[in-house]
Amino acid sequence: MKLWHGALEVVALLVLGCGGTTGGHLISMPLHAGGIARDVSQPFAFTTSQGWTVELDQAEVVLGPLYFNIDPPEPSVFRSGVVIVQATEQFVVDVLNPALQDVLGGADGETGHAVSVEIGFYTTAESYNDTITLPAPLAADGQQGTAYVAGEATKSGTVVDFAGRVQITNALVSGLNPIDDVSRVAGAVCDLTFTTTSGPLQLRVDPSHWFDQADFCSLVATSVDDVSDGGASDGGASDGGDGSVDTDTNAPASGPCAPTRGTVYAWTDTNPFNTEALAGLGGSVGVYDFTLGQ
Amino acid sequence: MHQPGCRRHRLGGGRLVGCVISRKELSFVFRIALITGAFVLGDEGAARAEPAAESAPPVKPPEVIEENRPPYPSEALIDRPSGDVAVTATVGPAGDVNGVELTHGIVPALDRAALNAATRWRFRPAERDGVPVASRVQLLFHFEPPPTIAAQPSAGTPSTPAVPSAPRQIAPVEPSASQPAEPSAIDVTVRGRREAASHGASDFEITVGHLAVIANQKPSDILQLAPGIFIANEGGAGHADQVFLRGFDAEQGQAIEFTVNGVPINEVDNTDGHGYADTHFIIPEVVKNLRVIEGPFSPHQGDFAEAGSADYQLGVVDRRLEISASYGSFKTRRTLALWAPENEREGTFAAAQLFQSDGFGTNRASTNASAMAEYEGEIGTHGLWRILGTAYGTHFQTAGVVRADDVASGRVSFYGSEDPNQGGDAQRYTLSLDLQNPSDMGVLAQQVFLTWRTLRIDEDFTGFLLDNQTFGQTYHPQRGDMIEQDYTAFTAGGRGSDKLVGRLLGRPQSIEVGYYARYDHTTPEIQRLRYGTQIPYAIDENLTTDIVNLALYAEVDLRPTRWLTLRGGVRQEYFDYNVLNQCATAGEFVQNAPLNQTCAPFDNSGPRLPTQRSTATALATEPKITALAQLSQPLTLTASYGIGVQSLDAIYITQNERAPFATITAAEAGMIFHEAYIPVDLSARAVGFYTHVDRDLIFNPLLGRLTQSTGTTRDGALISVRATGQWFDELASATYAHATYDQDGTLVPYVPSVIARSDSTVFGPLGRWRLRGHRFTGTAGFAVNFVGPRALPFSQTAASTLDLDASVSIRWSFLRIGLLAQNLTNARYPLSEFFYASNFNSRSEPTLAPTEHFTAAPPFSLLATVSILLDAESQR
Repeated sequence: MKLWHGALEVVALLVLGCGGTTGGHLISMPLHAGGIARDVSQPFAFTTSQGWTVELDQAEVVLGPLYFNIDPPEPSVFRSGVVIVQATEQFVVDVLNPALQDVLGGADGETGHAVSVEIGFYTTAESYNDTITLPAPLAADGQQGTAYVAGEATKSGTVVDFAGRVQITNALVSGLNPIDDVSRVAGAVCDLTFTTTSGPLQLRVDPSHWFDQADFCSLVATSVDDVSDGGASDGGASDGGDGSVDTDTNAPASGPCAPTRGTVYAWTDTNPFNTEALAGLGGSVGVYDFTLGQ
Repeated sequence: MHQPGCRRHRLGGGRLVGCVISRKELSFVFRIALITGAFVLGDEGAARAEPAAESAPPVKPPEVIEENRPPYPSEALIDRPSGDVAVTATVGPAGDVNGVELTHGIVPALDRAALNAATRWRFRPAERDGVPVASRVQLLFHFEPPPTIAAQPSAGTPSTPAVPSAPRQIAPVEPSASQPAEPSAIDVTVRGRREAASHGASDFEITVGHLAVIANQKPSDILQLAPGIFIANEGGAGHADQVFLRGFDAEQGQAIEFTVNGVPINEVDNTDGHGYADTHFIIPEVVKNLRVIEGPFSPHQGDFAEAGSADYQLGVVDRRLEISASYGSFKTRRTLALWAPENEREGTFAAAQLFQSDGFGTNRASTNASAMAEYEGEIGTHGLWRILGTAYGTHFQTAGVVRADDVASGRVSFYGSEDPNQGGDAQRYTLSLDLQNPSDMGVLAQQVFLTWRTLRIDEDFTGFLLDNQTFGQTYHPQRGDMIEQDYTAFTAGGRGSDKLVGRLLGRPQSIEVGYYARYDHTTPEIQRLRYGTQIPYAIDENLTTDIVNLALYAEVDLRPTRWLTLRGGVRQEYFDYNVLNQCATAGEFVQNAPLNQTCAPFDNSGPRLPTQRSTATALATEPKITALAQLSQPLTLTASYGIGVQSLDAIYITQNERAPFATITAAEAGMIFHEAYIPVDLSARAVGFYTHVDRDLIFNPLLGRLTQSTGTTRDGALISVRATGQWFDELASATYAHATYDQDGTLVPYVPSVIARSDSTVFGPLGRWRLRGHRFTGTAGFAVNFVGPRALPFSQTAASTLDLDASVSIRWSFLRIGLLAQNLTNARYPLSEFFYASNFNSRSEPTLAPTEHFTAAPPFSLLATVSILLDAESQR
């Protein structure tokens, strides 16, 4: 019986093989992710659109899932169009490391041309059940973040040392900002043609636009000191505005704020800085660069 | 026994004399006058009986138990000879005909028909002193050609092929003590229905016969006997079967016009698909024939006959009272009661069945009950009428599709289910009345029918893919994609025809005109249900439709030469749509609204009512023609061409749409071979075909139903062979089909490229064993079904499958025991495969890209049946 089945199958395959295809193909490929290509011996520094010069010492972000769409997203719905390729596992990217790392699970889907990609973020909002185990410093002290950033921001002589987690929590969710909207990049721009011979899918994350909407002074508890005491150290008390630099802060008399020297500023999920940084993470242009390797 | 008008005949060299009743009958009926006599043979089967002596032991001549009356052979219709053919049949001690000999013939065609028919007669054997002995009888077949040349009741008309009626009376043969019994003349008036005329090599008249042992569990088993048919089912036991035919994925019958004794069963605007045809209400034991015309080549074919038509013709040939009980794998239980009174016509019967099963794997339990009753009576001297009533109800669970990656990971078993909340219910009630009354000019036929149908189906193809949050809404959790389809339909209609016969060019010619009328009032509604509940949260569709389909046709049957027949005509089809969309604003919403409003009182332009009506009409003209050229006695070449139409789903109707139907253009060429090599009857067919559809329907898993697609083209070939003998029946076929989209030439997915099938049965007495005077008879069957690789989306290919079934039954007197085994090798394979995106929470994040889904084919199963049969056999 197996012989007969085999013979019939050979005939049938020959017949089918002469007839064409249904079009398209299913594909799968590895996914590699990392920071932008750069000289790691040099500090990673950039200037934001707010005028802050930021030097990052550490920056990690949790991304995923990724959904590559043939259409730009519709503004009225949170998920639309036709997804042709997906990577459903969440993964951590060290954006300061230019070496591409393999992402577990890779990507799969069908051949086609994608023009936008939906990128998910890690969230602790109760309606989601993200299961990835986050390493430190993304997870520590009972907190878990979508991203962890640490470094120094300078503007007009004011230097703010910062370190902390950008979080997506229930506190950010509202009717105008539902969790589906808050926890993803709706449609990052891409231009990818997936074929059966496509190489690995590569993602490079550029954090230089993460803080374009952020004011680092929102991390600082005090504002600019009206020095008039000749610069004597007075704990920041107003001294009549003599223009001298107050030796208790890192801010010159004309700086945007007066952070305390040696203090590393963190933030909570309700701090405006968290929302501003999250907005930067969700940038649709210039932040996430997808290519197909050879 | 003498009757008025009796004329005595001496035939051949036999001593037998008898009566031939010559009675003027209607021109289209056949007369068979039988003379039986007891040439009682000795143990050696001597040819003649000795004159009886006073001391000779009492002799009882053989008595007829089962007759076989030959229809007037089609090959003789050219010359139309008439007369008597005498056949001497040797009846063995078991009552079977062991040999036949032509005693007096007319022409080879009639002689062959008589000889072939005689081999199938069965007798209560002659007895000498109470011991069965061999004997000889003379059978006299009187042939008279009909004036109506093979009328054409194709799918959708109330007529069935000519079948002899039950004899009015069978005169018992009374033995005398001293000499062979005086033979009795058995005069039979054959009052039959119009014989179906062939519309080419793809016009198949399938008589189940002995193949019932292997192909009679469900109505779809009978349908699979037609070449090129492949049956699948992804919706559960109560869901209509998915039918593939000649490159068409007819889904649940949408591309095939299904009728039962002419009553249409395709459902207009069904929520699961326009043209949905559920045959589960048919009790297979009351199906006598199935006529399948592959292609739109008959003017009798109407809406939905895209790939062809299938007409289940009801009747019980073996008159009996039967009570059966079956039990098998997965706690399958079936009870059948069938009553077909002996002295009534084949169209008189009553049957009821109850069925229950846990089904294999997960979530496949089902229960159903069906009842069918028909009475066939006579009008005047030649007419017939029938009244048919059916009732059916079912409740079933559905496993639905499973993701291949979930099965591979072990999250779901091969026979498991992604969503155990799927299933449905259905009811169906039908009443039909038809009559057929021949006259000197032709045959007049009329039928009216009424159907009431309800259906509810819950299906989940995509899991949690589609219920996406909308900006401005209050947050709602993912509620799931479960589709609930609710459908209610009332159908009323009728059909009629009149056929007129005349002579031209010295040969009979005919013309038939007919009409068809159908009205449907339907309320299809599709909602989305919260996962795990019956609570709807959105409406996809909510319609109220009134659809009228009227058709007129004219068909001529011309014989310009002795060897050429031209059969064809034109059908004009009219569709009238009146569609009220109760929820035309489905999906509209307003920012900051608490939730999506279903059937909102506004749209993008402002406030409005949610309802909207659309009306449209269309008129289509469908020419159809078939040419049959009989090159030699057994061989006929055929060529057919036809245009058909299929109405559109009401959801696609827009106001004043000019052509709300799809057009089918088809052509084919073929060959028919039929020869009787007594006692074997051999027939074969070969066909090459082409079909084009300008607007096709393709299954959309996101919507759970058929949706419109672009034009498609199909071509291919088939070959079919059937050989029947005294102890065997073999039916085999192979079909190749190639289906592509016109737009880009890509293959139409899901369609099998090759379908091959073989059904074989052997039957007969089991040796000489007897118990209390009753012999044992047995039947064994074996079926092989091969489905070649199927093209799937994304250039995937489904592997070929090979399915083996076997069955055996033994009968003793009134008791029959049978065993059916399906999927003998317990092959594990996907019955249906699909590629699309779904999200059943099988990963930590939603899966939105396409992947493979499938429904599993049933595993190995056994079904044992015990039947009590009270019929002529049990009384022997």
